[in-house]
Amino acid sequence: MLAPQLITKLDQRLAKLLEDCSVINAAVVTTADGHMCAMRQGNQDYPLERLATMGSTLMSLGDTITAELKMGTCDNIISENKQGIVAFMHINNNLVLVTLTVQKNALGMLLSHSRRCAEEMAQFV
Amino acid sequence: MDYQITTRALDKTNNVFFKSMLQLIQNQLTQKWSYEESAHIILVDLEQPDGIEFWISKPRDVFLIAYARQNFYHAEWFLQKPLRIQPLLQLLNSLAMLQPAQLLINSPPITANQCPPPPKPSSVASVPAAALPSVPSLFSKAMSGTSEGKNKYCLDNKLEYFEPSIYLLGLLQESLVAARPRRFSCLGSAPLYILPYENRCFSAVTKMQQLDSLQENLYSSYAKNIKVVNLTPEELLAEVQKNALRAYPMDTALWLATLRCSHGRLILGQAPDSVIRLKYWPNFVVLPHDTVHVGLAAFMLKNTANLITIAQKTHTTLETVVDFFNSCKMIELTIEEPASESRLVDKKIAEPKRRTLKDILNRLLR
Amino acid sequence: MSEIKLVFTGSAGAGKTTAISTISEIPVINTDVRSNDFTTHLIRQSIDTSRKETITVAMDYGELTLDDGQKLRIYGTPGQQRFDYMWKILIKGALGLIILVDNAGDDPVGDLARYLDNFREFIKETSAVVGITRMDLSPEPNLEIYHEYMQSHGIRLPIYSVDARSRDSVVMLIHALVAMLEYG
Ligand SMILES: Nc1nc2c(ncn2[C@@H]2O[C@H](COP(=O)(O)OP(=O)(O)OP(=O)(O)O)[C@@H](O)[C@H]2O)c(=O)[nH]1
Ligand SMILES: [Mg+2]
Repeated sequence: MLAPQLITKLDQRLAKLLEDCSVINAAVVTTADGHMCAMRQGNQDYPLERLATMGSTLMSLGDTITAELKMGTCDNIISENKQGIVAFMHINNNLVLVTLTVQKNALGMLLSHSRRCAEEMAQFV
Repeated sequence: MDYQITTRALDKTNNVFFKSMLQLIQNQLTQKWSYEESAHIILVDLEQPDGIEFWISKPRDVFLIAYARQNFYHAEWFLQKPLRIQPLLQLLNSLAMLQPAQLLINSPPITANQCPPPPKPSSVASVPAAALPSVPSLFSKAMSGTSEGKNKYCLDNKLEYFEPSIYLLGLLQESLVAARPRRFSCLGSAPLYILPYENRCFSAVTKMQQLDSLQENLYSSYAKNIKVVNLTPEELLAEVQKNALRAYPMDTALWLATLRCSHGRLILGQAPDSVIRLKYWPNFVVLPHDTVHVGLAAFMLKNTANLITIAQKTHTTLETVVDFFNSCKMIELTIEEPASESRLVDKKIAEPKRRTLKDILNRLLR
Repeated sequence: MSEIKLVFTGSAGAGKTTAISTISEIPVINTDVRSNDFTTHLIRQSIDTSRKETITVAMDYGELTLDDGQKLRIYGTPGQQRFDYMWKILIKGALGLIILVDNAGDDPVGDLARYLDNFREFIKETSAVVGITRMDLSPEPNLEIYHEYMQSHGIRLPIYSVDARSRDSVVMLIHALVAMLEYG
C-alpha cells in the first residue's frame, strides 16, 4: 500500500478538488488493483469503497479495449447517466481517479478539474 | 435351552474354523450351542456360488445368517468374514435372546425392503430350491418386462459372478489382508509391487492410462498364471529404486485388476438389484478409464439407481456399467441403499445443447 | 443456442488466468494489473518464490473454435472478493462453471465453501467442477478433506487435484463438467 504521508497528500488534493469545483459531488483515488487510497464526498452517501474497486475494473477494461484497437493509452472513461456523470482516469499506471457529479450539463467542468487534479497527483506520487 | 446351528457353502477350512471357535466360546455363551450336520439355524457363505443360490432360493423353515465380508444383501442377521470371536459371541447371544418362535419362523432372508416377501403358497407344495430360477428378481423382471429393450438389459441368465479370487485381484486382496509386501509378475508384463502398509504400489509402467496389450496381461490374468514373490519392505524398496519404478496408489492396481477381469459379471456377493450411488467423484487421474466412465461417474454421483437404470439412462451397455460398478466398489467409492431410496434427478437436456457439449469435448480431447 | 460459454472462477491466485491460457487458441485477453496486495504477497513469498505479480480486476477472455465453426468463449472472473460484482456479470448465460481453489491459500476449504455459496443458484440450475490447485506447494488439506466436506454438505460435484499450468489437467476438468451437464 501507499505510504501514509502520500495518502494524506492525496486526501488533501481531493479536498481541494471538491472546493475548487463545486459541481463535483465525490472523488476517489484507487489503486489499479481496486484498493481505495483516498476519498471525499459532499453531503451524499455514496458507497465509495465499492466505487473504488469498480473504478479499477472499468479502467482496466478501458485499457484492454484501447490496446486491442491500438489507440494508445486510455485517457479517461466517461459514464453519462440519467442522473449524473462519472469520470474515470489514470493518475499513473498504478492509480486511478474517479470523480462524479449529479449535474448532467457539467461534463466539461468535471473533466477539466479532474484532469488537472490527476496531473498534479502524478507529480507527487 | 439348547441351540443347534449348521453351515452352508463354507469351505473346509472355514467350516473347521467355525466348529472349533464354537467350542472355544462355549463357556462365554448364555446358552448351549452345538454344531450339527443339519439344523434349522444356518450360517450361509454368501461369497460362494452355492451359498448365494441357496440364499436367494429363500428356503423355508430355516433361519439364515449371512456370512461374507460385507452385508451386500442387507441381511438382518449377518456375520462378518473373517471369523472372529467377539462378533460370533455377540451374534449367538443375541439370537438366544429372541423368542423361540422368532427363530422358528423363517424370517425372509432377503431384506423386505429390497424384494417383496415371497407370496405365501396356498398349497403346501414346497418348491425345491433347485427348481427356482437363480436369476435375481430385478433382472428377471427386466427380462419379462416391456417388449422394447427386451433382453437388452439383463444379466446373464446363469447368474455368473465375477470371482476375484481366481484373478490378480484375489491375490492383491489377500496380500492386503495379510499386509505382505509382494511382487506379482506374469510373462511379458512389467511386474507390480505392492506395499500394503503404505497403501502404494509400484510399476515400471509410466502411464497406467495407456497400457499396451502386453502390460494389460498381468491385470487380466488368472491368478494361477501369476508368479507371486514375498519381499521384505527393504527388498521391495531397493527394487523400486534400482528400476526407477513409479509409485501409484493401491487403488490404481485394485481398480485396474477389477476393470480388466470382471467382463460384465457382478462381483461375487453383490446383490444385483440394490440401488447405488457414488460417494464422491472417482480420482480419474490415477484410475485408468474411458470417456464412457466419466459419464457413468457423473450419473452415479447425482442419481441413486440400480444397474439397469444406470445403463438405460446413460445409453451404456449393462456390461460396461457392471464393470465400472465393480471397480468403484472395489475401491470403496459406492454407497448402496435400499431400493426405496432410488432417486433420479429429473434432467432434460435439449438436443442442440447435447451436440454442443459433444463438440466441446471432441475439440478438447483431440 | 446464442452463446457457448464456460466460466472459470475461484480463489485469488488459484490459476484461473493460467488455466484459460492453456486452452485458449487466441492470446488471452486479460485485465491483470500489478498487485498491491501486501498480505497476498507475503503469504506467497513464504511458500513460493515465483510469487504472483498480477491480479485480474475485470475478467479474462479466451476462445476455442469448435469443429462446426462456433466459438466456445471462456471467461475468467477476478478472484478477490471485492470484485464480486463481476461474478454476476460474467456468469450470465454460461453453460457451466469451473471453480479453482488455491490449496496454498489461508483457508482453502473455506474458499471452496464461499464460491459454492456465491454460485449456488447457478450450480443448481447447471453444474460445476472443482479443481484444487497448487497442491505441490501445499499438500494439505488433502483431497479426502474436501471429499468429506462435500459429502457432509450434500454437494455432489466432481473434484480433482489439478495443476492450472497443465493443459491435460484443465481438459480433465472440462471433461468432468461436460459429463455432469449431460448425465449428472
Ligand atoms: N506450483 C504450482 N503453481 C501453480 C499451479 N497452478 C497454478 N500455478 C501458478 O499459480 C499462479 C496463478 O496465477 P493466476 O493464473 O494469475 O491466478 P488467478 O486465479 O487468475 O488469480 P486472480 O485472477 O488474481 O484471482 C501462476 O503463477 C501459476 O503458474 C500448481 O498446481 N502448482
Ligand atoms: Mg486471474
